[in-house]
Amino acid sequence: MPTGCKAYEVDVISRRGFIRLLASASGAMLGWPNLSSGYEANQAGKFILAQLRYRGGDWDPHPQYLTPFIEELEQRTSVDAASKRRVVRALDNSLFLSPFIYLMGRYEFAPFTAEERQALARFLKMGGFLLADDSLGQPGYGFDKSFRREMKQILPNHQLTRLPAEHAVYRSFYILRQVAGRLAVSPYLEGISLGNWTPVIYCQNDLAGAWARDKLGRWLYPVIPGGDEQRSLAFRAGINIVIYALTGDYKNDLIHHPFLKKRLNL
Amino acid sequence: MSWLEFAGTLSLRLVWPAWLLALVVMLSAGLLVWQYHRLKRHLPTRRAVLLSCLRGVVLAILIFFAFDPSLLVSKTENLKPKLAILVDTSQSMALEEANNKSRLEGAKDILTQGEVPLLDRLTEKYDVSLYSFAEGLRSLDAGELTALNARGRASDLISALFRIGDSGRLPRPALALILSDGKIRWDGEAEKLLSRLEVPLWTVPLANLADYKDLAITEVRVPDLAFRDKPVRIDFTIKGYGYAGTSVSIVLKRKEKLLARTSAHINKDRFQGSLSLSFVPHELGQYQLSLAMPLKPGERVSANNSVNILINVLRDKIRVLMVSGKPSFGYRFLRAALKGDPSIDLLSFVILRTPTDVMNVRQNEQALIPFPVDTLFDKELTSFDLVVFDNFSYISYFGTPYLENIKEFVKRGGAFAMLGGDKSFGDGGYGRTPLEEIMPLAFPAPSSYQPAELGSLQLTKAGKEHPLTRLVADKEENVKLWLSLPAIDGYNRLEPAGRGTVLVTARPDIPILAVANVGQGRTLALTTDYAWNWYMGRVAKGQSNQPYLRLMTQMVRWLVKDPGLSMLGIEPARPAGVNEESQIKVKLRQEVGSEAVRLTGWVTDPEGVRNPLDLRPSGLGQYAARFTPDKEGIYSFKVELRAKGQLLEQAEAKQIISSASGEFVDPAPDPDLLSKLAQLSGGRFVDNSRQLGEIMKIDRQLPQTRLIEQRRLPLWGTPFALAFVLVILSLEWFLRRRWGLI
Repeated sequence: MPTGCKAYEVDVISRRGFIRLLASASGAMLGWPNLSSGYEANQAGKFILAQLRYRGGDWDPHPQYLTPFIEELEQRTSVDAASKRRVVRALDNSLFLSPFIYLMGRYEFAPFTAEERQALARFLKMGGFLLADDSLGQPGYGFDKSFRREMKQILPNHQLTRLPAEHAVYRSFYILRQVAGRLAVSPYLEGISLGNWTPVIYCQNDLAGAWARDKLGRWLYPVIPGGDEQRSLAFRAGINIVIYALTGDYKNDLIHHPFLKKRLNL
Repeated sequence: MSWLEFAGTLSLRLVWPAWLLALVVMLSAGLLVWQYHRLKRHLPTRRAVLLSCLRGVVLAILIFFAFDPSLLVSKTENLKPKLAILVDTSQSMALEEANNKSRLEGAKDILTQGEVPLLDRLTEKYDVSLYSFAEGLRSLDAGELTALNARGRASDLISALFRIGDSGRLPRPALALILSDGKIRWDGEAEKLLSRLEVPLWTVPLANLADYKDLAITEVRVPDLAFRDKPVRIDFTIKGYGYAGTSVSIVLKRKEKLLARTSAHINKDRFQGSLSLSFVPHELGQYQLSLAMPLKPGERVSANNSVNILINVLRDKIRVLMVSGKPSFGYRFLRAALKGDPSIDLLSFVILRTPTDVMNVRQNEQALIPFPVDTLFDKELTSFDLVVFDNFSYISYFGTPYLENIKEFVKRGGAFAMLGGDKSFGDGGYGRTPLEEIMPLAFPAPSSYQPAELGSLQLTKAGKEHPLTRLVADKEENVKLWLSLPAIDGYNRLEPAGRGTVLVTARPDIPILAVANVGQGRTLALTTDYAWNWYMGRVAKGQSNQPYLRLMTQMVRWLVKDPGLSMLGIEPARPAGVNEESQIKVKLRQEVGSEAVRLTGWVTDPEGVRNPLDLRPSGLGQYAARFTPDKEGIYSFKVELRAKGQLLEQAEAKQIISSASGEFVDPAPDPDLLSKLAQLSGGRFVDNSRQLGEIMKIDRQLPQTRLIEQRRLPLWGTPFALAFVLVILSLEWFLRRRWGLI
């Protein structure tokens, strides 16, 4: 530094910071979640549930499902979860920073583009996880029809099949002997497995519908055919699926076998 | 007494080409026939024949000269037969016999004692050369015999004999007299050499097997590689002399701990039995074992009742215990990386619920298992190679005594890693605990977790050289790769500690990855719970996930000192004895830039005295140091590799140095072998002094001559040849004149 010059410390904003600020401000103005970055304030190290937004149909039939489910997840397990969800589209970079994607809907939706299918295939093959939830509960119609069509395109060499009773998802936290949601269409989960890992799990019982509450804490939808046990099973299934997405086939390790056998009366 | 002898032999060699000689012979024969017919016109047949014969003789003599006829005249000298006397000076010859004299003393007595010592008598009859032999051959003067010591570490008789026989300086003896106890090297090669030697051996045994009493452990066979938790079998042979009807117990110990025991019944005076002992090593590294049996009364040698064994126990799989504080993507991606490596055996525990979490279902509807802390961190801790705490706080599960166990586990050769998060390092309550003492970074504040994005990653100077951070082979590409890794959004703010080496930092100079050598083990700190972003963050950009997978498995391999990821390798010295020079070789991985690192080494003797090793370059990435042990016991060699003063890696090796050589493994006299040598060589086995006297009677059967001079005398140039030709020609002329032809 030349003699005689005085150094000043000036608060400046970097170009990167400016762009981020602008994106956040725009997102806030439009009422959208911040999609520009993988990091959301105070959410580092936390489980972030990301919901996939698509064209057509109804990508968010039960927006009130999140808080009750995250609260139950945090109260019952050691998972440290972010209170807000992240909404992503198939071509967003942040898709890969949210390895747990929740795809739900009631009606048929528009087919994904080839690029979107390619991105989703890469996401699923390289470690991402997708939970699909049919809010309509009508096999062969609406969301179910579109989802099955898309899976055949995204992972053409793999079949969506019933997950067997010994699959780790049924014992990742609770021992699940049946699966239920707002509906009880199918007592089991379906999935697509790649080796020991199942990156796609599909539930046809409208899990989010069973979790949703209003701001006063009342359940938004009655469970059909009904009963507290059915709603409890919906939460257990959701928790098991999240724990499976975070631990993989951990519960298939040999160390767990004697305990699980005893509890399953095997 | 010597005398001269002359002898002559006729020597022929062809000086003309064969065709010319044949032409001359044919022309001469034709000329004789033609002349015979001409003579026959003027003379009766008998006279014509006589003249033709005389002319033929002259022609034959002239043709014979074409063979350059010479007379070889040799002058030789008859000598005294050479006798080589070889005295065994290997260590077994120092053993005392029943007469309280050593075997070597017995040899000296045979040669030098008595009214007229045998050596003097032999010197009169023979041209005697005196030698001692052990590993090699040494020529002796008669005066040196009395001062001879038995210090040789082996006894190689046949090679010694061959040196006498084949050397230009040493003439081949006509006879050799061997004084030995029979403990000499005898194998297929020695037998082959003996058959080519052609020297009769008179062998004299110097010890009586009937008086010999000893028990020995011999032929110990240990597998080259042993694996943890797999049985190791040690085969060996027990030899017994003079203890028929007794039993002996053999124990295998590691320090004072008994590992296995067996016994043998000795059913005859010359006993030999094969036995084996097995044990299961549960720890890695070098096992110093002793195989021993008690000393029995009257045993001649005690050193061969025990054998020291070094076994290097390796892992067949790397056993990793990982405890994760909560289910997280960090856990799942790390689990996938480790499970994808078939050489890693991962046992993981994830804290799925804490004691404060709600549990509103019956126990049989939960899939949770107890966290067996007593088993993991006390009883079974040493069965793991590596313990990983992944964002895990111990406070709710166990106390500091188990942290002390982990610290001791590391000091004794185990490995420990802590991965960052809001339950790690100071945030996990590890500040001022035994674990902080062994970690490569200090935990300055109880709360250090920062959920904030950091700048790009960069390798430190040590990190550029370290194998753990080498994700691609090329050094420059590796630096660029680290710079390009996705940023991390959460980290623990820690500070460098003197014992650790920081390998990776994030701008501005925040330690992210650091390692330390602690005692015999290693530790690692990864200060982020967001490392999985190096996997998915790259996948998002369409890049490979290999850097993350490689880093995770290399972290494990470096921590457990996997040889494949070691920068240093020490080649154990070859088995050596006290005062024998040995060489230590050190190898450096090629990727390690030699200009940036410094290699130092020490050798520690059995009494704990440490001396520096003089390591010198011996090739590309290779160094060597010489050392000469002066004590019996286990020597340990240690080398360190430093970059800019920071320790990168250590390596150690051990070597057993024994004062007793193989001579004392089974020093029982072997008269049978001496007898066999005599028989194979055409000599004689002499087992009493009366028979030894017979060596004096065989001198005349062994005449030896030496050529002094040899001359060649050409016959064609001698006056006798010329006179003989002239006489024949004159006679022929005289007869022709008498018979009126002239």
